[in-house]
Amino acid sequence: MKIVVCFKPIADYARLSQEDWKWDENHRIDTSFVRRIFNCFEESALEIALMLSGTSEHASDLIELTALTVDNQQGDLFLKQLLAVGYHHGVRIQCQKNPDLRFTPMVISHLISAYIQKQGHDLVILGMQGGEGDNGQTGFLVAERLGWPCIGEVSRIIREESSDCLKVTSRMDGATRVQTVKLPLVLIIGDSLDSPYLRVPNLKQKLHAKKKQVTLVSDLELGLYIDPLTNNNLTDNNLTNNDLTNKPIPKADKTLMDLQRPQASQSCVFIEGKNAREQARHLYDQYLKERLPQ
Amino acid sequence: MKTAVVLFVDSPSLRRQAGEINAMLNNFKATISCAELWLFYKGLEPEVFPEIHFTSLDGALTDGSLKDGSLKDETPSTIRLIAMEQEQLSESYLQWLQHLMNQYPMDLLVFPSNGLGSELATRLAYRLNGSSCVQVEDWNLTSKKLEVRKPVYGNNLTAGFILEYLPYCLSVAKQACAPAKMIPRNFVKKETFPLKMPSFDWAKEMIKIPDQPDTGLADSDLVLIAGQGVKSKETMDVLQGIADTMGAQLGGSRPVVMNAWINMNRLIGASGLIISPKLCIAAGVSGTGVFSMGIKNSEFIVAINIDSKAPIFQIADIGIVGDLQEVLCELEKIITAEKKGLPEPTESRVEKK
Repeated sequence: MKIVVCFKPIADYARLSQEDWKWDENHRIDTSFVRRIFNCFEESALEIALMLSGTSEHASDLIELTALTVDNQQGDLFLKQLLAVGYHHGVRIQCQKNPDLRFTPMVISHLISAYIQKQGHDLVILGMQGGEGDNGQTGFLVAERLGWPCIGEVSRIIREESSDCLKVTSRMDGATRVQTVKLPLVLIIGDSLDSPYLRVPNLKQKLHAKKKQVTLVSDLELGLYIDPLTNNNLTDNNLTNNDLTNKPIPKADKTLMDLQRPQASQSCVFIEGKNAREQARHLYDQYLKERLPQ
Repeated sequence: MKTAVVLFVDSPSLRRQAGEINAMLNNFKATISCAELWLFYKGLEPEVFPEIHFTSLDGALTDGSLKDGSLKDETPSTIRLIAMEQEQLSESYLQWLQHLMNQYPMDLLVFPSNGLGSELATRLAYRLNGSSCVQVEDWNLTSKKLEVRKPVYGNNLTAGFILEYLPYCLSVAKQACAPAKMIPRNFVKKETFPLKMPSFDWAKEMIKIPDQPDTGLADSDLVLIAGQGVKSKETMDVLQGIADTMGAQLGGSRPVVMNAWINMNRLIGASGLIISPKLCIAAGVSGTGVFSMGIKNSEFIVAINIDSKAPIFQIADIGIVGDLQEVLCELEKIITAEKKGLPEPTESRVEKK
């Protein structure tokens, strides 16, 4: 089974102050001075795939794991970490002209599906929402592009006896579903108590991973070309030669107009006091008494 | 603009979803020339329907822009009922929606705020070569194209987009709203589709486990929310006691839920409940964008945090910089004393020293 897990490291927004939220004329925000982290859904996706690969007993149904990111910044530290904890391949798709892909799930999903078609994976796992755009659409569009079935809000994936089947736990509209499903498949990891954190590599694994190389793939190598000047229009260089569906590649379906920082609605009044008792008394007398049910 | 609202009768949160859509339609200053309600249901045909309201424009201008003094409050003229035989995959909904769009083409399809709504909006727009956006908070029709706003950057910013191609398929953002009323609707045009169910060989068996019943947290007037600052399950139990004394419902931020200190159905924030109580006390919550979205519409917010720079204070009315457990325990003592009609508790000797 060949599994690819897609992720995109993001800046740790909690470390940005009010003043850091500013952008240039292209709506780009400089977050380079804070560390980047895994998005929570993608972190779970990456660990769930590792747990799947740990359960194979026979050489015949070995799992080949690929971690894939579409990123023009150096996502390589993250890919190296994933190689250290057990991923066989770490791949970064890099676009030639550094286009702004933050709000273009349509373009990202085309790049991901083109790579998957080329490599012949049979399971794609993604997080349900992430990146700067919080688009929440990439996984569904990958499924549509590949013509594969798709399950959203997944919390658990277990292998079945038959090598082309999985048992998938997911949520849909106020209920939990446990389904046995056949590959190929797109699974989108959602929020759940079962969400695992990603394991941490030990020293030996880290040293071993140092020798491994991250694979760089360009948009041109995938038969796609993204022109930043035409605002993310995607043109297919090579439509006759690729075996994607014959559907014409749609242009980006939406265009970014502006960004806004929601106004902090009020100024907070701080309650002073020399100890917790005084603060609590002040809070109760001045503000809570009238608001609490009698 | 020909518009259809898509809802699922069997959804446990049907009234809330319809309420969220109503709140959005209320804000929509554009010509909705014809509106329909597309309802999927299982089993018996529903006799009551969620009340959907939209504003229509009399004598609309050709570009769809607003003309003063001609707004009318309306309800959908047609309800289409789509009968389903058994538990559905999103693939089957998609096939039906494609079929409906073929027969009754719409310019705008509005889906509920849950995961299914976002999935269907995205995939249907792809199949119809239209445009989609999920978690739409606001919308506006200008120069014949639809403009939408949605949260980005972990709810720290919002972004405005122009949707380029018809049909527009949108899922609305979760928001605080009044649940829609359920009303009998015998007088509108109603059409039922007994469509043959498509089958999919990739899905073999399915077990469905319904969620635990609603906690009542979403509709509570008084909510106490615990954040990462509680640090342990033991402190969480103390907070539960305090919530009981106050008559408050207890909720938790994401780290608290992920530590299993409180149940998943009490998660507050973008991926959990969006609440708007009269009084909300956020204790030990740092206030990330994703969390703040869950409480920002509360009438009155009290934040207690050890860090005076925590972003939670940006949306709070009242802030206390201090240890949440100490402050809340003192508050509990005061409330208990007030309830019993006891005199104000005096300061202990230890503290006087």
